[in-house]
Amino acid sequence: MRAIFFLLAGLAFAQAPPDLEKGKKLFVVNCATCHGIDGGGGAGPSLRKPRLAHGATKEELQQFIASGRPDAGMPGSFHLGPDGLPQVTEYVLSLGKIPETPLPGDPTRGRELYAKAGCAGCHIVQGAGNGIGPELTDIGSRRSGAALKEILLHPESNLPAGFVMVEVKTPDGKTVTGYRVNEDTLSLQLRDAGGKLHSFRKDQVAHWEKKPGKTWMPPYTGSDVDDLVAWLASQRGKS
Amino acid sequence: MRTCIGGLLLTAAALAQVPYSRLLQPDPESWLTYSGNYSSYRYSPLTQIDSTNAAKLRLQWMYQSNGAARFETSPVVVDGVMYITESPSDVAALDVRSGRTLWRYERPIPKDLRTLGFGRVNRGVAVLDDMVYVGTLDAHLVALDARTGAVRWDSEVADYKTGHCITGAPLALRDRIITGISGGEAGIRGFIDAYDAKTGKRLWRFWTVPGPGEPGHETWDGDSWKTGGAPTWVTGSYDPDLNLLYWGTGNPGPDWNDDSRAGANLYACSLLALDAATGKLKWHFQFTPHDTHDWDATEIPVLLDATIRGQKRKVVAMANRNAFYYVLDRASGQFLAGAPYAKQTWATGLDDSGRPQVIPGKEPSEAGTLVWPSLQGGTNWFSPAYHPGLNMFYVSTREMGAYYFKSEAEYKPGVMFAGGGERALPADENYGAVRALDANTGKMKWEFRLKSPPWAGVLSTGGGVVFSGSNEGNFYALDARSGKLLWDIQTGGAIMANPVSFALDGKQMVAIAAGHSLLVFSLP
Repeated sequence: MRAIFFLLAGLAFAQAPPDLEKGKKLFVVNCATCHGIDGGGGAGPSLRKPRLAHGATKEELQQFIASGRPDAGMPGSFHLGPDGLPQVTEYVLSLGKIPETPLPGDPTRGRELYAKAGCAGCHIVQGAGNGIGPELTDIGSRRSGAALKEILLHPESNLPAGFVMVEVKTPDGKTVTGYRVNEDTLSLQLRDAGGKLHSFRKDQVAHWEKKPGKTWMPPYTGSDVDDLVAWLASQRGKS
Repeated sequence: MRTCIGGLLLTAAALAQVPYSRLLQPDPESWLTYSGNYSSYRYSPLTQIDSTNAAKLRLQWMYQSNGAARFETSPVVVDGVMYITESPSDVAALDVRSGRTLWRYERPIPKDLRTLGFGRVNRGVAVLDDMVYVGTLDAHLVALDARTGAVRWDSEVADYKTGHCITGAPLALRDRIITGISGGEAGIRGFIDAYDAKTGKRLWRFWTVPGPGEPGHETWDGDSWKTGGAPTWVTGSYDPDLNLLYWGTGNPGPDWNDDSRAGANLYACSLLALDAATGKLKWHFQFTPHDTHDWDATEIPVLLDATIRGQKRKVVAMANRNAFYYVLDRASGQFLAGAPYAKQTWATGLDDSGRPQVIPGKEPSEAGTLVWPSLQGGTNWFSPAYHPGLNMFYVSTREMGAYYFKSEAEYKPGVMFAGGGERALPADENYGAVRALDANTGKMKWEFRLKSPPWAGVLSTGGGVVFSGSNEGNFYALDARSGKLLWDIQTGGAIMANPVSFALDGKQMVAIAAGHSLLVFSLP
C-alpha cells in the first residue's frame, strides 16, 4: 500500500504541467521557420486549429514531433529530449485554442476566380482538374492564408520542399524541361508541361541541370487575390 | 565403448570450422570477420569479377528480412553458409548455394527497451571454432551453435534500462570475444569488454572514461565522467603481432551541451590501442578533443603498411567523422599524416601532433551554428575499404552542413542525454561521394559522386572493382583505379549496409543488404 502511494505520488510529480513559456521558446527556435512565429503557418501548415492532422492524442503528437516527416520536409526533433518534447507539444496544443485569423476575402467569389484563372489546368481539387502541380484538395489544412497569398503572388520564391524543375539536353539535340518526379545517382524522372513522363540515365544525356526557383505557375496578378486565398483556405480535405 | 567416445571426440574436433589460425589467414572463398580480415581492409582477394566483366553481373538469389528496422547487416560467410543479423537482434544462417534458411535465432527484446539516438539495428556476427557470436539490443553477448543456432551461453554485458545496447558485430580473437557498447546519447560510461569464447565469462573491461585516480580522469569536470559517454559501438581491428586491439570511441556526453564537462574529455572521440591479453591501454589518440558536434571516432581503423617520407611504416589509418583522414604509427600512436577528405569549417588544419587547430565560435548555440560536416560526419559507421595493391583507401563521404543547436541537458537513467541537435541544410544542397584516397597521405585520387550523403560502406576486390550503394537504392561497381562506373542496378530500397565478397564452387559472389532484402550477385 505504502509502495502504491509512493508510486502515485511519483506519477503526480512527473506530470506537473510543463512550462508553456519554455515550450514557446523551443517552438520559436525549432518549428517557427516553417510553422510561423505564432504557429499560424508558413511553408508548413498552420497549427492554430483544434484538431491537428498528426496528433489525435498528446502522446501521438509528441511522437510525431520527435520523429518528424522527413519525406514532407519536416525534420524529427528527438533532440528536444524528454523535457523539451512535452513542453513543445503542450505549446503546440495550446495554439489550437487561439482562433485562426479570419480571412478578408470572399470564398464564393474565390471559387469563380479559381475556374476563371485556369488553375484546374494544373491542379486537382476534389477529384477534378489536371495532375501537373500539387493536389489542392486539402491545401487549406497544410498552408495558412498568409502563406497561400504569398504563393499566389510570388510562386517562384515559395516552392514546396523538394520541388525542382530540371532541363535535360538529349544527345540528339532536343531539350526536355519538366519537374523532377524522382532522382537517384544514376537516373532522373521528369514530367513535362503536358504531363508526359521522361526517364533518363544521367550518363546517357548530353547535359542536365536543376533550375532552382523555376515553376510553370504564373504569379496571380488580380487585385482580388484575397477572394482566391479565402476559397483555397477553405479546402480542408475530401468532402 | 572407448572407440565410440574417440569417434565422438573426432566429430567434435571436425566441427571446429573456424579455428583461430583461419581467422589469421582468411581464405578468399570465405568472409570470416566483420571487416573481412583483422586489418579491416574490407577487401576480397578474389579476381574473377574484374573491370572487363563486371557489367555482366546478375542476381543469384535474394533473401527477405523479417526485421522491421534498417537492414544494416554485413554477412559472415563460412564454407557455403552465410550468417546474417536482422533487426532487432536476430540471426539467420543461409545456404549460400540456394539462399534458403538453415536456422534462425530470434531474440525476444524487452518491451520497455528504447534505443536512444539510433535504430533497432544489428550489423553482424563473429565466428570462432563452431560458434557464432552476436551482441543484442538488450546488451547481451550470445554464443550460438554454428550448426543449429542453439544458445551455448548468454552473458549480460550491461543493463539495457540505462540505455546500453549492442548493435555492432563482436570481434573473435584466439580464445576471446571482444564487444563494444552503444548508448552515447543516454549518458552511459563507455567500455570495451573481452569474454571467454567457450564460457562467456568476462575476462576484462576497459572503461573508456577513466575513473578517479586513473590517468585522464582530470580531463572531466566534477562528476561529469560518470555520464561521459565515449561508447564503442563499431567493430575494431587487431594486430596479432603486437597483440593490440584498435577500437574507436564515440562522443562525450552530453553531445551538444558541454557546460558540465570542461576539459579534453578523454578517451572520447579517440582511437584506443589495448593489450588484447589484459585490456590495458597501450596508447590513445584523441581526434577531436572536447567534442561538441557528436563526431564519434567509431569509424573503422584500417591497419596497413604505408610509406611515410620514404619509410615503410606499420600504421593505422582512419577517415574520421570530423572530416579528416589520419595516419598513425600502429605501435606508438604517433601522428604521421592527416588531411581533410570532406568539406569542414571547424578547424584551419592539424598541427604537427595531429591536434586540430579549432576555429572559435563553431560550438552549438541556442540560435543554431552552421558547421560542416553535419553531426553525421564526413563519414560514419559504414566501412571504408583498402586495396593493398593500389594502396588506395576508399571512403563513403557525406558532404552536408548543419545548424547545431544547444539546449539543456539533465541526466536521468535511460532517457536521452544529448543537450541539443541539428537541422541539416535542404536535401538538394547536400551530396555524397565515394572517394579514393592515397592511403599514405589522404590525398584524393578520384571521386564518384552520389545524389545524397550515403549510408553504405565500400568493398574493394583483387579484380580491381569497388562496390557500394546509395540511399536511393543504386548498387554499383566502380573501377578501383579510375572510379569509372562499370555496372549498377536499382535495388528498390535504401542501402545502409556494407558489401562483402566470397566464392562458392569457384564462382565469386558479392552480397549487399538493400531495403529489407539481401541480394547476392555473380557473373553468369
